[in-house]
Amino acid sequence: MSERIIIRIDPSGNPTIKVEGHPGPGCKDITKAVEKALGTVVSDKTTNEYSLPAQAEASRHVNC
Amino acid sequence: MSHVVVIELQVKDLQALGEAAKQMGGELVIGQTTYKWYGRWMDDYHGQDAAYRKMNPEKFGKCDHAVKHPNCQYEIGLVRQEDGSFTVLADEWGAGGLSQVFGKGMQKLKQRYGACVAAKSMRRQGFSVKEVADEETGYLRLVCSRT
Repeated sequence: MSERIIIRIDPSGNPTIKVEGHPGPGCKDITKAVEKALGTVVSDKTTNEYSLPAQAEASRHVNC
Repeated sequence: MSHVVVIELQVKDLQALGEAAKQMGGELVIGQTTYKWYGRWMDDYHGQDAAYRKMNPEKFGKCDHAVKHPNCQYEIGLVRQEDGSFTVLADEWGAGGLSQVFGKGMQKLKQRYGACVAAKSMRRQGFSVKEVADEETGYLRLVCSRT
């Protein structure tokens, strides 16, 4: 399965990071390093995909 | 998408800042302990972002490292903080030229620095990184993918 992370940096330099295609709590491990490198986390929101088991999400992607 | 993180940018990585300055035609000078500015505090600006609110004016002009640019008369000072990050100081008076090159509040430099830091970190984790600039909104977008 392909993992995709979108980092948007606003005109004043502040970034927002979105993780796609990585269900479950493991997605937080992927962004830990870049979050630390960029600065201080001011907000961290999980989405519906966060609570999906990894296998279920994998088959959903295959069927798309 | 499984989570969204909003970050307040801090300048921590001098190598990435040097790369950002270089991409904008400037140069990071490591160990330069003064930066060019008007040279005298005029006490004529009292906005919320006025430099004296964050730093004693007696320390203006002193820094740990500096950024210079051939089109700017003035320079940017980087002052190391206790947590290891750097405060970016700049005299934005028009003739100094810094705002024209690096944006108001040096925001263009900070944005470019953010892109350099993020790309470096993601590549280290095996991601390929593609940068897209949205000229309408002024946002930079890094698309990082890994299979």
